[in-house]
Amino acid sequence: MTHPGRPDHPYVLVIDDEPVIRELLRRHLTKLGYEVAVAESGEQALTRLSQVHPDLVLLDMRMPGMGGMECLNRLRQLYPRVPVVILTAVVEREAVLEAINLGAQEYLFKPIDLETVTRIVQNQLSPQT
Amino acid sequence: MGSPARILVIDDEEGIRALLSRELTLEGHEVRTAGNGAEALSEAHAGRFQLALCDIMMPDMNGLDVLEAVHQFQPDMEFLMMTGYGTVETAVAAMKKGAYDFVQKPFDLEELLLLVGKCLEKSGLRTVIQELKDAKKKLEDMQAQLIQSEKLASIGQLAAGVAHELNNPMSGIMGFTQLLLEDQTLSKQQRSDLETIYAQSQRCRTIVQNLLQFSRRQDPKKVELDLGLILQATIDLVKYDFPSSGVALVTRIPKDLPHVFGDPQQLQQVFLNLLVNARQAMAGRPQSQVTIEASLEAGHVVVRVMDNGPGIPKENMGKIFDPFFTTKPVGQGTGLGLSICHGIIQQHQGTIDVTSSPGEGATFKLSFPVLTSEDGGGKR
Repeated sequence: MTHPGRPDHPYVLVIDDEPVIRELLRRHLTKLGYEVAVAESGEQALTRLSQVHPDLVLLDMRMPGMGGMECLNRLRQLYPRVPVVILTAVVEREAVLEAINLGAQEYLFKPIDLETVTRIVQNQLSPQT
Repeated sequence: MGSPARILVIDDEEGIRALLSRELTLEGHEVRTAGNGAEALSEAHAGRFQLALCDIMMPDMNGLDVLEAVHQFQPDMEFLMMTGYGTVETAVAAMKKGAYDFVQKPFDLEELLLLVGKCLEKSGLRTVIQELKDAKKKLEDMQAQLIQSEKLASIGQLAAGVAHELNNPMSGIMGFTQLLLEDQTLSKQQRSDLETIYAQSQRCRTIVQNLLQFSRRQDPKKVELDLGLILQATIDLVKYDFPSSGVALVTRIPKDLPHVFGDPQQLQQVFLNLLVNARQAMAGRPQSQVTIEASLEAGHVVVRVMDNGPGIPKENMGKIFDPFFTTKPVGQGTGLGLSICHGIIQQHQGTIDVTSSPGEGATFKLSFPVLTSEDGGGKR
C-alpha cells in the first residue's frame, strides 16, 4: 500500500463535521503512525481529495450539507480504489447496508471506541489485504 | 309486528298452551311450550328465549319460582305472568321479582299480543344497549392502547434526538480518556481515576445505544412462523440462567400451534425480556418459579409468562410499560425493556397486558392473531 513519491506512512482522511471527533481520530491515528488529514464536510473532503491521496477514508454518515451517503457515492465514483469506513449510529442498520452496497468496506458505530478504530483501520491498511 | 322472537309458553293447561302457541306462531315467533316448572327449566337450559308467558298457579313449582330459577342463568329473559282472578297480589309479587307485566285470565288475546309486542321491544332495546356498552368498552380499551403508543412514539422521537446528540460528545469523552490512559507517566491514582471515567462513559454509551434501539421503531420483517418454535429457542437461551438463580422454569409449549405472522427476532426479544425480568424478580426468593406457556384461545395464540414473585404494586401497574420506568437498582435497568416489548407487540397487531396482585406474582399475557388463509397468500 505504499505509493511512489509519497511518505512511507499510509494516509487516512477523516471526514466528520464534529471537531471533537476529527481531533480525537487525528490524535489517535497519528499515534498509530498514520498520516492524517481531516475534512469537516463532504464538500471539503472532495476538494481536498484532489490534493491528498488517502489510503483510507473514515466518513461520518450524519453531516449537514451533502451528507455521508452522497459523499460516499461520489468517492466511489471518483476514487473507486480508496477503501471507505463509515461512522454511524448503532441502530442505523439500513444505512450501513446501503453504504456497504455502495462500496463502503467497513463501519464503526458511534460512540466510537478507539480499540475498535485501531483494529478496523489496521485491518484495512495491512499489507495482506 | 316487531321482529320474530323465541318465546316459551309455560302453563299446566294444555288448551292455553295450544292457543298461545298457535297465535304466537302466526305472529311469526318461534314458540316452545312447557307444562310445568321442570319442563320450563329444561327448555330454558336448552336455549335462549327473549320471553316467557308464564302461568302463576301451577302444581309443583309455581310461576314465581320458575321466574327466579330461570333468571339465575338467563337474566335477560322477560317474563309475562298470567294469573286468575283473586291472585293479583301474587302477580304483583312476580313483578317485584322482575316480571315485565301480568295479564288476568281469562285474557283478551289482542291485549295479550299487544303486551307481548311491547315486552319484546324492551328486550330488543336492552340487547342494543348491551351491544353499545360492549362497543364502548372496546373503544375505551383501544383508546388506552393508542394513548400508550402515542406516548411511546413521542418519547421515542425525543430519545432518538437526545441519543444522537450524545453520540459525539460520548465519543469525545471515551476517546480522549483512552488517549490519556496511553500515557505511561501517569500516577497510580491518576490512572485509576481515568479508568473510572472510562468505565462510567462506557455505561453512558450503553444507555445511548439502548435509547437508540428503543426509538428505532423499525418496521418488523414479518414472516409466517410457529410461535412455539420461537418460544423454545428463547427458552434455550435462558434455561441455564434459571437454576443458577435458584428459580424453577416451567414450560408448557404445545407442538402444533397455528401459525402467526411476525418478526422472529423482535418476538424473541420480547419473550427474552419477559423471561429475564421474571427471573430477576424471583431471584433469591424461596420456591420461586416462572412459568411460560402458550395456548390457542379464540383465534389467537396466547402466551403467558407467570411468576410467583412479589407481584406488582397497584400504583405501578399503570406505569410498567412507560419508558424509563424501572424498579431495578440504579444501573441495572434502563426502564426501556417493557416499553420496547409493548411497541413490538403493537406492530404485530397483538396485545400485551399484565395482571398482578401483591404477594401473588405477576402474569404477562400476550395475544397474537392467528394467521388466516387470506393473510397467507397476499401481502407479506
